[in-house]
Amino acid sequence: MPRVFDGFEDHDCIHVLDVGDAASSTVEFLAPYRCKVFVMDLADVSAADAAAGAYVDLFNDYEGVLFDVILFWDLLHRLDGDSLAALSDALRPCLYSQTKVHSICHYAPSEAREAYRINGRDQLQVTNAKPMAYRPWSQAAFSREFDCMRIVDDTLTPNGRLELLLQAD
Amino acid sequence: MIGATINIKGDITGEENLTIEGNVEGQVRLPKHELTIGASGSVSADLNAKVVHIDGTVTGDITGTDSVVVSKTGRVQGNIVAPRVSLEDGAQFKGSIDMNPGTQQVESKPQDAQLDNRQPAKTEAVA
Repeated sequence: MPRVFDGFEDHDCIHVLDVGDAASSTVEFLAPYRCKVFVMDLADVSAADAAAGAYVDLFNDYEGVLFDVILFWDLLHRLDGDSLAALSDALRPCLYSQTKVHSICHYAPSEAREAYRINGRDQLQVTNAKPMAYRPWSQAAFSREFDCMRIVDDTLTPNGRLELLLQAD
Repeated sequence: MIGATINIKGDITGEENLTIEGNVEGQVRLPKHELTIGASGSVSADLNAKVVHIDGTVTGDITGTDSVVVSKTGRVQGNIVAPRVSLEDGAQFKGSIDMNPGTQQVESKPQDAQLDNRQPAKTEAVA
């Protein structure tokens, strides 16, 4: 998590996409960046809806916006391959070469999905969220399906959480 | 106060604090005062006030020249613009939060050449 925001300290305004429910501590953490936070719960999009273009419809609402930071939390490892590819395609117009993405992969997979909020640059608070199937991707398969991004760094935390830093291609 | 049984369709402007517990469709402008949407309040309107407290339901864009607070009972669908925004745990929010009012919507980012002075990301692929 710490490096996700590296390089944005001097920006006048950064655009952050927070995937999930809005969290008070996350908003407080982001406030010093003088940012614009977009809150979008993509977990409600079913595989059928994704195939029908639901992600495209959602991101059409943000036409012209380029995200600097995207906080996906563990969502990317809860989507099937077709949904992941559909999300990648829909997201591409909102990316530029400096876009950074934070994603989480669990080593102890569970359907008991978690919600995350930022309490500090290296401190996440975890709460319960509605269950969702867990689909851990190998990095090769993940990179193939979610091809708008490449993994540039990762950190394994003591609680078995692999935090990934991705950057737009 | 606009009571819980009051329904208003139209714009509201004023020079005093206001609490809305009823239903309002339209715009509400209190540029120098506080606006509170009470727990029973339901507003489909764009709101503009110095301070906006949301305990009820709002569908529309909210501008607080000082701050916007969405309490744990608040339900907001729309965009918030304010230098200080507070979402209490339990608040439901869908939309965007702009905590840098005064700048225009950024339609495009600087060209990469202008970003060269930034720290490049470490490129360490993982097996």
